[in-house]
Amino acid sequence: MNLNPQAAALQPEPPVRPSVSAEDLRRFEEDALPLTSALYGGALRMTRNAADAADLVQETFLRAFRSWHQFQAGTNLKAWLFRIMTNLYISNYRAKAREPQIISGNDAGDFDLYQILLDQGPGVAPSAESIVLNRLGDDDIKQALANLPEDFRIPVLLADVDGFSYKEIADMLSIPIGTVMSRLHRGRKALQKALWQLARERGLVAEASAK
Amino acid sequence: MSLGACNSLLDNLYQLLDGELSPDQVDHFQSHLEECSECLERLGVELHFTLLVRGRCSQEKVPPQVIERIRYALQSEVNP
Repeated sequence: MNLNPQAAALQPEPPVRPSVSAEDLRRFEEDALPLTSALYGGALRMTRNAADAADLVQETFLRAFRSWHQFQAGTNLKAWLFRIMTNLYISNYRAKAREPQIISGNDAGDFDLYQILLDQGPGVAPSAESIVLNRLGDDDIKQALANLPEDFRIPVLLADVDGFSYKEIADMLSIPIGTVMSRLHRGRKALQKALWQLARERGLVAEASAK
Repeated sequence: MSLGACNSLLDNLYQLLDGELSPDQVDHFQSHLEECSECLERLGVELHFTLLVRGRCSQEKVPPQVIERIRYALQSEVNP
């Protein structure tokens, strides 16, 4: 178990409220604990590791409970919790996570899945043709996501899997919305390229038409 | 179909897909999509891809012992 109270104590954080009642805890649990599944899924994808994910979620709930008086009722609690979790992940886990290699050193930002699908042959609509990627396994897709460069991976996870808005992601990562959009664009293109290459390797796509 | 209209849509494709445009902008692009099958196809490919990623990274179940740990840790925050 790697819950590290020392490391947590070094993080800037609001002081623990002097008096926390069982009633405070009951209210917090009632609102926040139903989101445990969403947070755990997000933590698992971020850390790529069940033990770290459990630690990260626990630490997130502790932080959230200590800052509970700062949460504005009526705003998005899931986004608030994810913001705490993303910050904890970046400061405590990102450093030790293995750095995935940059995809073949070049930017996939101009990867054009539509054009490639169109080139597959006449008569089939590209949106139907893209179903070829459906034949990849869950693990292939999770692995391709896990291998994205970190700066692209987190925005893609937060937008495409966890369903957050550009503004919410910008707040979580403390970056401008324009940067969120550009990382999301490049991350999605990189993921499409990786999965298309994988589909070719698996023989799901005719090699001759590969670009 | 004017190239300008297609380029404008392509520049905003992800924002359209992600629900990040104003209702007026959505209406504007909607009219273009009704006339331009290529842009509609492109939107379809991106939509399909996003749904694929979301669908395959399904919510993992939280192990019960993780929930137990969280409740225990929270309980110890409460002053006696």
